[in-house]
Amino acid sequence: MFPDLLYRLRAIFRRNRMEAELDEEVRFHFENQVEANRREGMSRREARRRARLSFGGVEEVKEECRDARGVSFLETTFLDLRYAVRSLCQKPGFTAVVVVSLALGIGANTAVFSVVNAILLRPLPYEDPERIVLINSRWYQPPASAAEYQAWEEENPVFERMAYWGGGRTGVTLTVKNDGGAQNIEGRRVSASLFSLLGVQPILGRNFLPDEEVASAVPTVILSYRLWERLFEKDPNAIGKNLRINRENATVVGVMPQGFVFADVKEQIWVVARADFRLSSRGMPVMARLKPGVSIGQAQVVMETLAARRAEQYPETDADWRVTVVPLHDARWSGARLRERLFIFSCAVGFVLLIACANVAGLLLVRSSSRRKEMATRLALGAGRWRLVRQLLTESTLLAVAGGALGVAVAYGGLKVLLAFSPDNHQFDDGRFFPRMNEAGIDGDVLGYALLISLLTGLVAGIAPAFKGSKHNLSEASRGTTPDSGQQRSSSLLVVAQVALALVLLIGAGSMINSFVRLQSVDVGFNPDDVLTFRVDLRQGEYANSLGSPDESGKYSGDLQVINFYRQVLERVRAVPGVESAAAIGFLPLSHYTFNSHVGVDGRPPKDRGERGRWDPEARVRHKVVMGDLFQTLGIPLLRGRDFTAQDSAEAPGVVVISEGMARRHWPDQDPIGRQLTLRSRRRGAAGRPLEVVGVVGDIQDWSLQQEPWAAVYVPRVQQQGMNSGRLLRMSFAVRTASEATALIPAVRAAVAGVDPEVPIYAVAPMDRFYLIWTGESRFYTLLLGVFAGLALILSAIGVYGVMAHSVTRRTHEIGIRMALGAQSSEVLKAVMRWGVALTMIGVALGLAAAFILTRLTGAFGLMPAESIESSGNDNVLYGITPTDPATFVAVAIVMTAVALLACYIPARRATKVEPMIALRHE
Amino acid sequence: MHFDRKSPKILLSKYKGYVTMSETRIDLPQGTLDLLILRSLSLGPRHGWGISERIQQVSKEVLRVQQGSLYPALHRLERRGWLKATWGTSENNRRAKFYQLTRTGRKQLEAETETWRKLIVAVGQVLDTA
Repeated sequence: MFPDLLYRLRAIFRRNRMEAELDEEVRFHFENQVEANRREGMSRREARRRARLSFGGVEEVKEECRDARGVSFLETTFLDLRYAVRSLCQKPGFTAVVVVSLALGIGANTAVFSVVNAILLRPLPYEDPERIVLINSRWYQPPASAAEYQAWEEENPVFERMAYWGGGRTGVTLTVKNDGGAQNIEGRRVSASLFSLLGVQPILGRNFLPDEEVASAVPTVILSYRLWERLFEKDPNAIGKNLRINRENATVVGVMPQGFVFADVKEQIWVVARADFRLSSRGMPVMARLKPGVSIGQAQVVMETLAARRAEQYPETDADWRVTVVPLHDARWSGARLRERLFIFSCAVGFVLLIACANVAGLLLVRSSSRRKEMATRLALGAGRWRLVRQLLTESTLLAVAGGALGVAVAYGGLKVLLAFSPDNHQFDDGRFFPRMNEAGIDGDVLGYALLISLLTGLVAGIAPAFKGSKHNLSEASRGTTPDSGQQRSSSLLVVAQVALALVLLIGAGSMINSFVRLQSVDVGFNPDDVLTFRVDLRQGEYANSLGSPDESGKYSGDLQVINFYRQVLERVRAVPGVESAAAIGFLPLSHYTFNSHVGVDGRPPKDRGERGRWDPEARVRHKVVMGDLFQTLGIPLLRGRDFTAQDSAEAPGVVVISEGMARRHWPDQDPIGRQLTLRSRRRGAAGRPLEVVGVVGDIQDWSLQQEPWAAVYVPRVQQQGMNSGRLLRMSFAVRTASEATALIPAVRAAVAGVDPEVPIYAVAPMDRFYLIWTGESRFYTLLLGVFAGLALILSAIGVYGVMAHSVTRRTHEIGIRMALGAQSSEVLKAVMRWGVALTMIGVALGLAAAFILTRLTGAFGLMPAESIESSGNDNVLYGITPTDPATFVAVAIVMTAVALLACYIPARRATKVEPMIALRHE
Repeated sequence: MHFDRKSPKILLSKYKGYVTMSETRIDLPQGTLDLLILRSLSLGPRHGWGISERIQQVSKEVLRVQQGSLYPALHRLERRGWLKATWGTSENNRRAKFYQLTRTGRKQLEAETETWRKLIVAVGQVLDTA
């Protein structure tokens, strides 16, 4: 092994010396042969001739010897690279166009990859994340009840550790008060074991201890780095400090590392979940760490056994419970919809790269046809075909890597734009619509990906030109002007492919733009300008405790305290100078929260739940609980009847204002005023008392801009006592202001603090923000697809132009003859354009067909509603148009054709300017 | 210069080596050319020309090693460490590259010779009896 290595190293580093030696050795042999021949009596000339004959090709022998040295691969690669650099530098225009094309394609892909990597691919930043699983119970209310959890924890042989938390996917808002006043902060109640299960240690202080789950203890909290910074200005003495959390004293015990994220990036505070919380209900997600060597399948079997045993023990409650164990990575808080969209954008950007590939392949073909003589000569001089292919591939790979390097710069810039335009999260926080998207950046993974796709691109774009380019034979090439039909066919194919691919992307982008424009002009049914909104959460302290069951007299006296609180807030806010009117409502329209009920009209009770617990969709209504002058504040027109008045008190007969759509559905062509209806909420079965319809207001876009307005009912808050009281502890406020809404924020904040200093307002935002949030997603997709399609258009135009320009150059001679024989320039123009037009048309036709099929296959590029419109009405990204909208198809086809024809026209025009005499001398 | 697209490939086939025998070309079994080279060096260093002369002479003009096979083989054997090359002066006073066996080369020669003999005997037996 050792001499071998030494020899190779010497062969690499002492290359020139070894070459000289080889040369000398071969010459020595040759001359000996000549002498031997002379001794046999040949003439000097004859002796040399015979020696040469017997030796064979000297260069070939040398090449064989070089091969035998075992370094020729490296060496030739190096030579090829040098040669490639030199020949590319000779054609700076060509090189620049190719490198820039590739940089755009690779850059766009790299940017999208860095986002996908951050959101989906990068392993979770926990210890051994592959051993962490989620345990879902597959039934109505998903995860584990407290009792179940305890049973699992005690009996299971497969999990090392288990943890649970409250607040579902999004966490909860906790009111946190320190010396600086009260504020609402996204947080979560978690079991003491959670962070040690994840394997993440606080950078300051300590983890929760198991005995802190005891109900009597003072609750402990762990802060995020960001919150520590904000509340305590990074003071290390924050540990042990007291905070008031939802009116309870709590002690800070730890600070998590910077960048630590649990379920949601917005979470900033974690409170130990005490036993009373744990026992409160079902509905807690459970996480577990598998014991080493235990597989998901084994864990699943064990959990099923446990569930079956519980079903036997408690047939009443637990008979139908099913348990599934899924890896945390798969569960990722993102969900299938997000994955689907990322997939779509990866495909779209992949198209851009394909077009760039086709573009570059076309340019390389053109170039190779102008290098036919060079290649034929090299073949004739003994270069193998494979050797030429390698040389050409080295060249295209070099181009691609240069393009990739520039592409990383493009990606860096592109990513900044992408992040700047990424839609806001539903909450008014700095969270983003795409979880963890902020973590996207150019790191090792991303650079590796860029390199990989660069190499692949070089190979894909270069392979066909390399094989075609190395096929020439000398006799053909030296004849010179023979049209190369094979090359022309390949170029044509590439042009068609580029046009078709670009068209598909353009149609995607066209649909997005079209729907975005329509979305912008949706009439929401209310006036969000100059309205300030905020939320108040009373789920804390005595407010929460006072709710619940009615007292002996059947009154919900506790609720009155809550109502009084809201009344005072409204009064004080109205008194703020600049405020025109104010109202409170359970959930504001377009706020991503809404509340639905089930309605029965004219004395008929609401229908019961169907088989699978689904409501009769006809009877579903948006159930809006209001206080104050809601219709006036939001500018919802009152069409008939009256607004609520002070007379509609708790004791007065129940009244309801309904939406126009509601009136149309249940009392078509009749006057709904004076009719009766009853409401029943989804969770609490009992139907409320009959309510009399006193007014009709206009429909509003309540859930989203896209979804058709549902029927809606508005009821006064005071008449809703006891119904869903937990939900009614949170109210949103809308304040119509005389001028700029945000200017009143401090005054409004102070007004509410005047009612109760421990109740902060949060989610403070002007109402038109909601509107921006709803259009933000659409804007983002429009921007993204628009940029991709723009790139595709430019790249394909360059491709068409390059191939056409080359064809004109090649036909200069022919054109010269035609012109000399009296052809008009318009005829020449026509002759040259004909080919380009034909290719464009074929490309456009294919692209249209492909786009049609694709949209059919994926349903609006996979962006159609997933399962239930009810839960996520914003699923459909395309608004107001069908994916195969004819107008979009026609408009896009026209744009594409126009651009392609322009790209043909410029070189064709040049052809008509050809001076016949010069043209005839051409080549 | 002699040039033929097809034949050099056979001629230069890397591992077989190729000699002419009484004006007919024959392919040598794999490793045979290596064996011949090693053997011709067993009595002392020679240059490439000397090796081809030696093989020709010892085989009574039956085997002629083609240069196209010889030099790649020499370089290959040198890389494997079976041969060592030094520059010296030839009998006609010219600078020439001399090859000599290394210790591993000598061992290799013994082993290969042994294998070759056994093979000859075995093949001979098959040819005689079958």
